[in-house]
Amino acid sequence: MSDSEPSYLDGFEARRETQTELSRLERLYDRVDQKLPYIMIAPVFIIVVGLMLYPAVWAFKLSLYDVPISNLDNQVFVGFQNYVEILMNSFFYKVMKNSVVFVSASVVGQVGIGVTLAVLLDRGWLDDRLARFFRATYILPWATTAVIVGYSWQFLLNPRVGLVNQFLRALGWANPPPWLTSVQWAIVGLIIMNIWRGTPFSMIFQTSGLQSIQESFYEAARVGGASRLQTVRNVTLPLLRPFILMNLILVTLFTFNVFGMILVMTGGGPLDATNVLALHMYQTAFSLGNFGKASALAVLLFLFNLLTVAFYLRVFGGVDQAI
Amino acid sequence: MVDSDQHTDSLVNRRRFVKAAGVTGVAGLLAGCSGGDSTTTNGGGNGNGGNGNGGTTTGNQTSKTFTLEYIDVDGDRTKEMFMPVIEELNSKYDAEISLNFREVPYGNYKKQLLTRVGGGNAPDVAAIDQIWLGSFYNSGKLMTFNDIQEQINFDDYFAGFKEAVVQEENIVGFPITTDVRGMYWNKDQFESAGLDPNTGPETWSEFYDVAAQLHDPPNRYGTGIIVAAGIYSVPLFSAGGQFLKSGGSEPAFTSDAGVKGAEFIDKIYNEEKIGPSSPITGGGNYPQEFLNGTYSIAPVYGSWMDFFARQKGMSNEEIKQKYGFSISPHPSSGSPATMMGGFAWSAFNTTDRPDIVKDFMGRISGQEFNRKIARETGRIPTRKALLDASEVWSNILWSDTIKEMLEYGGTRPVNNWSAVDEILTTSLQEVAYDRAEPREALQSAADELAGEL
Repeated sequence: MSDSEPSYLDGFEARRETQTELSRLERLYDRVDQKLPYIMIAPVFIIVVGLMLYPAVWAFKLSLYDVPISNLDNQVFVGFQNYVEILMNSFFYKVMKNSVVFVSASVVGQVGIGVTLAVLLDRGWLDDRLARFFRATYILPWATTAVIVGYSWQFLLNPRVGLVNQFLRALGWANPPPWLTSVQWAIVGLIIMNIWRGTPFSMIFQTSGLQSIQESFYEAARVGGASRLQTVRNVTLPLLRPFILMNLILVTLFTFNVFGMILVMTGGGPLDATNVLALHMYQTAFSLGNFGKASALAVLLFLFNLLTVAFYLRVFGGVDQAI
Repeated sequence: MVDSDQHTDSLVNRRRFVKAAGVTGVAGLLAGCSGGDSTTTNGGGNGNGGNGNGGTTTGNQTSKTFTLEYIDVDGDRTKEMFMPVIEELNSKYDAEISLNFREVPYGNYKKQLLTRVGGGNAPDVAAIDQIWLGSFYNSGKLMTFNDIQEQINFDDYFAGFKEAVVQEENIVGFPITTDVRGMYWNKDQFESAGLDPNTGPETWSEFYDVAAQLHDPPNRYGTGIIVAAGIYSVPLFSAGGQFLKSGGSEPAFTSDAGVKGAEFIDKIYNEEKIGPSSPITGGGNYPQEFLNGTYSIAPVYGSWMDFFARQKGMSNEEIKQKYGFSISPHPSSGSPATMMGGFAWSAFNTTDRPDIVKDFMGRISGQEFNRKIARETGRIPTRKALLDASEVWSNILWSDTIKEMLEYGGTRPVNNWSAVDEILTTSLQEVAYDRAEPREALQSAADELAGEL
């Protein structure tokens, strides 16, 4: 800051000059005032450093060691060997393929349905009370604990007594898919479950975006004779662009890190057809007892998340679109 | 620029903020001091909150309180069963001993306990599945009991269980009770299909025939078997095979007997098609599904099936009336076989009071306490001396059948079981999903396992 520029501290300086003598307490207040921004930000800073940055650095450190779960003190430095072993193992690529399928389908489904529902409920096409009722109802899956969602869908997708297959049989499908016990269908079952659970988040997110669009734009479209579909395509969606970008980033990150529901529903099976990166990391740590390799997987997962964010920002034209 | 009046208001608010922060800080400090007093009164905090110990051994001074933390799998054993032992210890030691009895579901048990042990927060005593003992022994934190083996008459345990709890000539645990794997069938469904409800098939070929008669998908499947290495042990043993060669450093399941065992699974799901269209790969719902009539025959399942039946509200009489139980079918050229498992009590040398913990272990592993546990839980005893104890066997369903089965019992390798289980289970599932032939799948598992042993 240059000397000529005004500062909020100028008030204090002026006050100092006008007061010949300040009491001790007032001098303390002055010093606190000067540090106040730092004091206010300190709790959040400590939380971020303590709960996010420190564990992340620690995880990277662990990834360079061989760390058995049964004796965490017995750490042997192995350099990048954990990374080499992971990247040389074909199983990792199978898990990555599953992750990409699961994340892509879930993100497209959640954001697509979320935007559609938000637009349908926002534009006054439904009675206001009915729209509020639907919004409240749709949020329930998101508000339900992941493990409960997992167990519920495990039952819903039970090939013999599950409601989904009973419904499909009632529709005339004599041999509906065995879902979670089938190598082909298990991932489909998980994607359906994840879309069901995550869509409300996208819907609420997009609803907030829609409410930020000024009514004058819609009035202008009406005056110009635009149809409802044209209004959505040419007014709503372009103005929702930053919200859709943030929604895509968040949902992708959430989905990459999903593992609790998969653990409950399939445990990664059958034949690892539903084993995704986050679950593989958990199993490496707690089933195989190899904390070092699991930390290396965590670092790789973090890198994939970063790359995904970078990809979205590039496609959407830079970081300005997200703010 | 902020005008002076506004600035003054802001300053006053900040002063209030500083004052409020100061008051909060002083209050926090006072609360902290109060907490410190409480800890001191309780015998001094040692930071070891994990096992709830109110005291610890510091130099020559022994504390007056000791909470023995005991972890067990969620099941039949209860805190009340151990309280008489705690009372005995209280009368012997000049300390106030209490028991912190905690139960953990089987599915999370190993992970939770290993994490605690690895993190230096082990409980004092834990019931550990015998097949996990190798993993815990590798931590170097298991207490050894060679010095009290005579006191508890270690030789009285059946040979397989003794082997399971000895690691490098160190006794690291004492067997509690055991379980056997056998065949269950649904008597009503047998009867409705015109079969004798009181007799199960004895050989594999009889089993395939009977299951085919009962098979009525999707309402009812003739059979269903969990595709996992532990379950595979029974067809493997009955065909005359073993998991590992003696010494435990080389796979043995690629033998003809091993292939025959895997073919049993292959026939159920692929050749005879007498099971569900997709193989059962997780055991979570299997007992409930069998009890609900989804599968007419469960050819290999643990003798704890009755636990789930009782959870459904059935009495022992009702269970015996509705279901049959016998040794699993075997190949015509083979012999009957079963696999025995069970839990062992182990203790951790990280405890604050090894003297009390070892004494506790000696008392609960004695013959009389074993008798009490087997009697009250209805579980199969592991001591030869209790084979004829009628009060123990009167609570065990199908006791005569089980006594006969014990002579055919085999156990799984303890030291390398985690690796065998993980690798072999995947290969067996490839067989069940018809993605590999039995011999090819087993060879692939053996190749992968060779690098781990």
